[in-house]
Amino acid sequence: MTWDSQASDAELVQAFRRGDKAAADVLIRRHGPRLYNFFAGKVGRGADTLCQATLDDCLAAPEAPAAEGERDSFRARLFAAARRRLLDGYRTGDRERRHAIDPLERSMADLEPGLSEAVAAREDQRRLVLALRRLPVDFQVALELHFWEGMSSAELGRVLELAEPDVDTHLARARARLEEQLEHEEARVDLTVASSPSDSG
Amino acid sequence: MPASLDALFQQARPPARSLEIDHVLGTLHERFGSGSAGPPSLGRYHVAGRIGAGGLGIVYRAFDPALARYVAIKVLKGGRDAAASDVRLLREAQVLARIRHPHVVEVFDVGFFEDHDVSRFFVAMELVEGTDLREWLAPGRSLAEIRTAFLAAAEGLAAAHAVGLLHRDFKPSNVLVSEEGAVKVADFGLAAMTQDLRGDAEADTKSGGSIVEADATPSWRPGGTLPYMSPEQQRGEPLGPRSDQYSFCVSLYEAVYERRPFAPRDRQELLAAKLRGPSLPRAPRAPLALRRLLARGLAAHPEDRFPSMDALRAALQRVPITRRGPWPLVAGVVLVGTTAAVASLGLDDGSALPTCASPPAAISEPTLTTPAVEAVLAGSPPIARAWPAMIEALDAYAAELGRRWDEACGQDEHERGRMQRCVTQCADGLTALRELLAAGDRETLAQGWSLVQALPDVQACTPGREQRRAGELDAAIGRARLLATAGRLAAAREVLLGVRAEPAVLADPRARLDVDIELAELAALEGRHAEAEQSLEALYFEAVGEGDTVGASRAAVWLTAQGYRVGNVEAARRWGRAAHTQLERVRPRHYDLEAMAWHNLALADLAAGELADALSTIEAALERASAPGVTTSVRRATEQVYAELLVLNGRPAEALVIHRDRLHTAESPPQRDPLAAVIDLQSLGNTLATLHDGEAARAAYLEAYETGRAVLGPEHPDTAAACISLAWAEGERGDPARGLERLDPCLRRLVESLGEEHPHVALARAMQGRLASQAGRAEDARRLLEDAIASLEQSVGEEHYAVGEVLHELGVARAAAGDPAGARTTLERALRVRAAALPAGHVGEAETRAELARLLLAAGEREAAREHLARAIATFEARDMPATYVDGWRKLLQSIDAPGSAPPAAPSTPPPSTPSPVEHVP
Repeated sequence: MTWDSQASDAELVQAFRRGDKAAADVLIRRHGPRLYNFFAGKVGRGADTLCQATLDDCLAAPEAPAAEGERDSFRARLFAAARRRLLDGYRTGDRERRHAIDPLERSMADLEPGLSEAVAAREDQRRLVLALRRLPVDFQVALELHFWEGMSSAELGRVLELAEPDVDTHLARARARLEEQLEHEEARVDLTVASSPSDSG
Repeated sequence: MPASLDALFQQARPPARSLEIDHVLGTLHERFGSGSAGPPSLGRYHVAGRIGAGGLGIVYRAFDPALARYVAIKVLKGGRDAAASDVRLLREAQVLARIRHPHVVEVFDVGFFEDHDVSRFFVAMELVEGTDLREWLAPGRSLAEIRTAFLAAAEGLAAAHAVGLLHRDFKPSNVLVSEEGAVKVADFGLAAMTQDLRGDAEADTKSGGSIVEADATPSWRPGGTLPYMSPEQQRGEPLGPRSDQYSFCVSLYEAVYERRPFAPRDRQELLAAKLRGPSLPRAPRAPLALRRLLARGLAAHPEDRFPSMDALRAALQRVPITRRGPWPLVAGVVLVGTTAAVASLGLDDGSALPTCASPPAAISEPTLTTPAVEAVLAGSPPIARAWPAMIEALDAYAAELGRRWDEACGQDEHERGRMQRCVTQCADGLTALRELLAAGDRETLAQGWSLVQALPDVQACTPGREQRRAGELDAAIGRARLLATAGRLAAAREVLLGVRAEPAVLADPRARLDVDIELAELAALEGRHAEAEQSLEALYFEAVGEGDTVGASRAAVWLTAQGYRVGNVEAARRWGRAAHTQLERVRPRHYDLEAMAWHNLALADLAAGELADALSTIEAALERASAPGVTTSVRRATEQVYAELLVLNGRPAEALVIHRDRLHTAESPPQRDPLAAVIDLQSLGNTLATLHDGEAARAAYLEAYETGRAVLGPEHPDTAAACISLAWAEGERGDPARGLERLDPCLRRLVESLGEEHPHVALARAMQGRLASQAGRAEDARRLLEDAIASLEQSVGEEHYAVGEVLHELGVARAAAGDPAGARTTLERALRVRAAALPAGHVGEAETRAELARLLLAAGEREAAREHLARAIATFEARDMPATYVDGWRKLLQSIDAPGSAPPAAPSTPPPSTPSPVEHVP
């Protein structure tokens, strides 16, 4: 079945689950870039596999067919799954007792030494990307999704696993931290630093 | 403030489309959607896949339709606004293409391409399928392998420097290693170019320095990787080829020591550490010459380093890599699957069972000495000596078969049939051998005991052995092995080729594999080692592919032995591990193969000088060798090596237990193989010598020597070795002159068969030196011992435990010659070497300590003497050294403690001198 670009996410997802691959194509064209960019600005490598895994999670999971408000928008669910996948990759501890890292404490700069995959064509882009990576992961996610995706508080709540009223406070704190980072960033010389033996080429 | 954040984010919005996005979407379309629309293109190239992503950019595999080949394309991060190409950058990048060198990744094309609305820089280069140096080094490599790889990389760097190109970011992950093992340096100058791409907003003069040598402008943002950066690069100073040299040496250090030279992560501390210089401790993989090289290459100031990469490369080439082998210091018998033909239990072919009353004729027939044989015996004393024992062995074998036959008849019908078929096969083998011998061929007869060993193993005729292949095939292989052992290699080959051509065998992959393995082993016997190795490697992989774990294990076990034989310890260990992996999957377990695999691996560990590892490996072998169904010969060989390793690990008392309880019990002739007996007795002698039981050691050596002369002949190296041990024993008895007399002809024979540089020869010379010292010939002693040390340093390395032992002898000799200062220096060095090379708690180290203590005491340093002596005695006690020996040292210790007593200059009963290094001569 051919789809026009006005079809809703929910329709497309349902159709895909019934086996309609063309529907998946539309979803991919529509959401793929933002999904990729979500990862590219964070991880040093493997953004492509993470995208696949996230989409797997999203499309495969059985859900109530009727979307319930903004909180359950496809976009929110997509980024919620992406965030889960991202964090899952950094579980610490031995195999028996792996605990999740705290996204309010750890930043991507901690977790992934070496720069992100992001292309960052220009100087100012790079400045921002680097500063964002130094924030705790959940702050980075919140700011990116707020500014670049224009996501609502309800959607953000879904992604960050917060109650809607708490989202605003969270965002405010994130902005404050970012401003701090940008001020200090001037003094930094940046290098392709790899501080752990597992540095990338 | 929020407003400016908004603006910032707007400006910095990531691209909605890009090459990478296209690529990833393509993969998603394939996975979830209706397939991809076709590969994204990058200029004229079609992106076919993604190889990886790194700090500088993403690497794709792409197809070049113009030249119809696959290439690797690295797309650098940091693009710029569309249509703003940079002539200067391009020109610089074109320098890259100037290098055509086997050790540099070739650059085909550089330029900008339009990635949607961004202009991005790409480098199209040679696609190298394989891995990078960092991953390649990860499992651990020998110094020889590391050196080969780094020499290649050095050549690549030198070639680049020659055309005026600096790398600026040399590190192991930037060196590619192809699947065939070719080493190529990649990413020259890319770090600098990436900087340039980013620095477009700044004025030209301020952007990262040019990638060409002799930066005119200082680079204020050093692009590179911090741990590998030279100090000058870290400080943003101008770079030169010596900066690349520094990074190279950091990488080399990391490869050799398996850790970074400078630990701190903090930039400032790191720089300080680099200025201080690296620590270069002694280590097995770091000979002195290499440490000096690293010290120079990692000098804080460029002027102090090598003048060029070529000079460094020459120095690296000159680092002596000591060949560990093919000279193992223990005559461990290498086990391969052909020591005994496995008689299968025979397939049930439905024929009637033979009656119990009529066993195969071979069982009751005696072995005859035909006139033809008599003629040969008359002409060859050694063969004549061996012949009676051989007859006895063959007849005893027949008797054993008879017993098995009777046992079979007591079993239920099914078992009985299988066992009887097995016994019949063995009997056929016996008949074949007797016929072969009866023909009176001198070559055949000279093989003596090897032929007896080649008979099918009677113990295989027990219930429960897994049926591996048809009886016919087994019989043919058995015949071929017999012929091969008898020296009739061509005939053996014919038999194998013949059976291989049979339809039943051709159709069965496992059967074919078995025959091919035999053919490969035959090639080795014919001296075509390289061919044999290649075949067996191929057969190994074929077997793995077929899921034939037993076949794969056999091939791997053989390759382990071969690696050890030719002195390639790394290969031996690699194959040993492969064998182990395969064997873990074999069910039911083939304990005999497992035992062989571990046994050979232990010998490889020993050849690498790793005593403690060798011991634990042989213990694993022994565990398996003790399992039911494993042939006695395999078990005995493993026990023998185990005993040797216990002695080498400084635990002689435990070794003696093995000798007494397991190796030298009375046994029936078929198991008492004289060849093994010589080795066993020698080993027993060594154990007793280490325990300072001179008389018993001498008796063992004497028996070893006489057995060797009788069975192997006086020319045989094993006989010569036993002779040398005997000479040592004469010295111990107080008759060194006689010892030297005895030693001289034997040493000459040893030199003839092994060559002057062989470590065993060096040890024999050390023996000579010791005897000379005992005989009062101080100058001769010194000369001989020093020569021995020099020779060993060359052949096994200055850190090897054997060097430590001879140093000990030299120290003792110098003390005896009245040179206490010289003795002390030598003993101190001996102690250092032995402490580092031997496992903890080794009696050898303790003995050196004790001797040193004696010297210190004589020099009046009571405290130091006491400390050493106390430690030494503690070790002796822990190792159950005989009381008579330890008492001598205890008395010395008491004399230190006793108040007011002068240290005895010459004790009335001199504490026993230390055992000779001969314990390691087979």
